[in-house]
Amino acid sequence: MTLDFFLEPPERTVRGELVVEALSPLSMVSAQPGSYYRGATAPSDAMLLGMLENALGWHLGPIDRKAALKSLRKQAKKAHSKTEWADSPWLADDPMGSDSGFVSLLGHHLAFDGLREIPQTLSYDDLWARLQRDPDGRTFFNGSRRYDARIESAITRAKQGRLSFGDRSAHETLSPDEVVRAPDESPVHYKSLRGRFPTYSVSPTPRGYVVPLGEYRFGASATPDVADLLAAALEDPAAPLYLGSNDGWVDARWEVL
Amino acid sequence: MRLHLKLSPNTAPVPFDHLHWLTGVLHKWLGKNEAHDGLSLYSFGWLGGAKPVGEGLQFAGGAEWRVSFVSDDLSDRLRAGIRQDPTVLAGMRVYEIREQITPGFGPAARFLVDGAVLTRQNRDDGGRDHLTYENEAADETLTRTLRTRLDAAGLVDDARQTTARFDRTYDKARTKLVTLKGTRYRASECPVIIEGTPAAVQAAWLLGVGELTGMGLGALK
Repeated sequence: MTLDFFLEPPERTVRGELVVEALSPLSMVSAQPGSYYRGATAPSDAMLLGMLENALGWHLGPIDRKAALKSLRKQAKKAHSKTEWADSPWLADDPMGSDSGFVSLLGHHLAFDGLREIPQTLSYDDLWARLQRDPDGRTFFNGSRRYDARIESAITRAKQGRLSFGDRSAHETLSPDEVVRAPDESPVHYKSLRGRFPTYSVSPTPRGYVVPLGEYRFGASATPDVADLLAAALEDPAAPLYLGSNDGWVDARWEVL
Repeated sequence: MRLHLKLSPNTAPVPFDHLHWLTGVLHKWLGKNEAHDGLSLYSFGWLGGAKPVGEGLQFAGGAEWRVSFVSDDLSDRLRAGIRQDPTVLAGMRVYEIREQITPGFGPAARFLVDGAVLTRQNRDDGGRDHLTYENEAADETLTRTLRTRLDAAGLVDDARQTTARFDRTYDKARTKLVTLKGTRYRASECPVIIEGTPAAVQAAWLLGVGELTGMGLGALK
């Protein structure tokens, strides 16, 4: 994996187009919403950059990514601190990231110029199995389909309204065995059964999907090195390409204008 | 196919009579083509999102513009042209092109007009009278021009069964004076009802109705 392209000043002299064809329905959710994952009809710039990094094989987590950017910027600063680039965002800041915190390594050397073509899309909602962590013990209670069989009778009594679960001061924190033996109408704190549920619960969540009826096209400009990298990577991607969720498979190509 | 173009806000006032500029922009994108001088097999609506300010129009939130073609070849050329040069006028530029595949409307449909519709009738002395939606004779000329253009689009058999008429039950119908390169035309802002084969109704939605569709009149929503 070579990131030498970052050391060159971001003179984006190559104008091209990223052409994306969906191979399956896409669910492109740009923010972390509440109970409904609203899918967009077109990917955001951050999603496209993420897809391209997959094609290039750059699978870096947030910590390694930040460290890589810091180190690259340090090297670039050293070489260009006395040039016209000294105060440029390239040497000063991380490129703009997504709402979910993703920051692309390509962000300074590849920019989408705003012109985009969006095909007609068919849309529908589906249920999506959302994995969620529940530190305070409230969400899993109504959301998880799996729990320890030893609390089955307590869950049944809760569904029948014979045990009152809540998180107010009147609700007592008991051990799981005490909950099972607790008399009817007892107020019990949610946390009492936390240990008998999985660390992550799986909750079916409505999520928007689109089926694009044609190709997407995004106008872009890139440095010559990055343009070459993209063309080669999209010809023979290092990993399956996707947009939105990881089953939103796509095919993509880079065309120089 | 219909293309919905999204335009960025203007940086200079847009003149009220800018329709011929839009025509010019379209032909800049299409390049040299047979659609320029012949019968127009496309239509385009008026820029949406305007507010009159002083001597011109202001598109503070940008504009939306619908352009329709019966030929996919022409719509492809338009998109390629936009990619080369997305500027429109008064500092506005295209930043999004959204495709809309032609919906199925069945054998009859009522369409709102995207702008205004022009119909005229030849006089014996060689002049032409403007017919507005208030004049029932307008339906005959609307039908005749639509059939001619359906013929030109290759829908010869469908054209014979197709009719177009103004929906005179619409209570907000009105006429509008449209200026094109200094010439003023009395056009109608009134919904139009198209009846015919499903293919002809679809084609009419793309072609528009009445005269001067290549100059920005007669587009249907």
